[in-house]
Amino acid sequence: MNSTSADEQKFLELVNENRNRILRVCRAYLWNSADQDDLYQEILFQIWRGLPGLKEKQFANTWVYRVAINTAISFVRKRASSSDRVVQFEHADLTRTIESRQATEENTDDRVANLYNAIYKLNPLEKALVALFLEDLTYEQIAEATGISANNVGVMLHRAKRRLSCLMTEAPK
Amino acid sequence: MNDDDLKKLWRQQPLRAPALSPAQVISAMQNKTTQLRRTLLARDVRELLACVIVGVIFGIYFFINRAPIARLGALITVAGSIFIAWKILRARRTTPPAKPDATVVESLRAELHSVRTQSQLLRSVSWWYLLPLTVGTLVFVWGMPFNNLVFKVVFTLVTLALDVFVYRLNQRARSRQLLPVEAQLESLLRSAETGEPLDETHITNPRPIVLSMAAADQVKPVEFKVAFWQIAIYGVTGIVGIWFFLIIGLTVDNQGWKTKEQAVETFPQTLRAEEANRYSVAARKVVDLFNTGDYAAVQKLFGPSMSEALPLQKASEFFTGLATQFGNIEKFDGPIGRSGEWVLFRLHCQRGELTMRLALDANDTISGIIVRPAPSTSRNSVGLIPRIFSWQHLLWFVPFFLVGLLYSWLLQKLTERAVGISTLGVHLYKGLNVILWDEIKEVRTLRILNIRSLWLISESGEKTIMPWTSLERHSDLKAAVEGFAPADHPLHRYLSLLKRI
Repeated sequence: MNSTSADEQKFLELVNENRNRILRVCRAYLWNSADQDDLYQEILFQIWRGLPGLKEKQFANTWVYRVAINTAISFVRKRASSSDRVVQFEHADLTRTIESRQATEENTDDRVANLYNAIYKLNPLEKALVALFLEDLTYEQIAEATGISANNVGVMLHRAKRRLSCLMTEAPK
Repeated sequence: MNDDDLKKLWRQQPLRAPALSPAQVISAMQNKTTQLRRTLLARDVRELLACVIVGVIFGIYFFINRAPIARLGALITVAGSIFIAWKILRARRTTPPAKPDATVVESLRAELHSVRTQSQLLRSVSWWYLLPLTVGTLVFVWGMPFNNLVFKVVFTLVTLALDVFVYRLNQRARSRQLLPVEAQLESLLRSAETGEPLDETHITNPRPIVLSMAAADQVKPVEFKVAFWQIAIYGVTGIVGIWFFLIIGLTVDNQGWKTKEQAVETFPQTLRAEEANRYSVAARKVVDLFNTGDYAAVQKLFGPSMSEALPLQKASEFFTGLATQFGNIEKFDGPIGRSGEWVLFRLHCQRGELTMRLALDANDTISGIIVRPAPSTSRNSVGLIPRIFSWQHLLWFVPFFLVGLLYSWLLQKLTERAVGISTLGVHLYKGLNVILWDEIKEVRTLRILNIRSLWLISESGEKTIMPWTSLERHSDLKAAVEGFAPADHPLHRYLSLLKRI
């Protein structure tokens, strides 16, 4: 096996292991599934680019979180002035989109929708901390992933959770 | 709901797995790597292209122009364009993005540094961008060897007005786009470093748009760029305009050079007073004798070598011919200049004007005389047009036209979408900037030349401009508005402005 295919194998393993984690991070930052797909692909791309920098495999999961959170925060902010998201719709696509406009199914789990509606109202750092907390990372792992000191993680996360709780309680049933 | 319940809910949520095989993922990554390289290259090329065009045009002027001040202006402009290119590239090189696996804090620092650098560039745009080009072009135009004061004054005023416009545009972009981002990044970084609550005034609060998760899937906007032909109208005109002014400049410059050659005849070295007096006396004698028709007396004023070269018979024939064609000399100006041993006079005759060059020897006898019709200025102006539109110049029209098309095509391909239409509303070029259908209470048109844009006016009177007839794919645009906008929305009334397909 040459080094290129070994790297590709390593990348695919890492993505397979962390697919759901990455998807959840994407969903925490963007509510539109098409945008989530774009972000998902961007995170994979950043993992692909940064993979040579991953030396110790035991820290791979934290490393992936770091790349995912970092990419998501930048992605959302840069999208405001991005220039590469033009999607050419063919006429057939457009017609299909319009026809399917009203035919959407309501989400089966209102509790998840409620949680996400609350998460969307948090600021980008709070989103990152809450997402990592919900992924069951320790304060030290969150600190490692974000670059925020463990003490500050504790303080900020406490505040973010309190806010999340308020937002979920206030949300319309 | 306690922490464990939340974590359980989070981890057990249904997720939509992207339907990509491993081979497709690898292929997508390789494609994105290639695309990234191309994008970076295209960005560099796009930013440097304008500087290269300016540099080449004024570089040509520097080498072909003989007027020293105009050459200095061309040199300043070329140096200015190199400086601008260097400044832009340097700003980018000194603010590299954070590594992919950087922490949030490291990434925020890198982005903040980059935004501050861009902000600083826009703030100081007047001295590093506008000043060198303005000084260069003004020195160039004022140094050009033609005396059209009106053109020079108008050019100066237009250039200064353009500078003010560009400066304001940059400051507006800085205050509207960069400063808020800078404040937001500073606030995020401070919060991450100190653990203090975020200053929420700097963070964009998304409007509470209540959507079900499934409905949210349907809001990807249909996106429209500005049409190629619309950019081409102005892009090609601009590039062809450069060609036009270039050939005018070249022609006038050559004209100036020729004038200068004649100016050797008309405005050369000055004469000392006694010299001028000697020649004036001789010229007066020639003129008076010519008017009396005493050509033999004129011939007697000649020195030995001149008499030999122009004996009486030939001199009489020559002066008779002049008198027949031009009549008597009514007055003469001069000496109006000197070229070597020749001193110049302008003769105003009954039927036209002549120039007379005289050379005297030490005994004040005439050692040389040349009489020629004075160059006609009106004839020169008439001749200017054919020279401007000579076939050599017209040949250059084709590559300039093609470059204009290429430039417009590149601009269209490389620029972002102008408008997106979705179930939510109108997405303007700012990506996440959505104006909801319900927020648009009134629509008005704004016409500039052949383009009609629309003002989207909210209940509070806030107006947002949206490109309209300049957009591409009018049939899809109509379909998108008809499909997504509420039936009674005021935007429907403006669909008729779009081309009938």
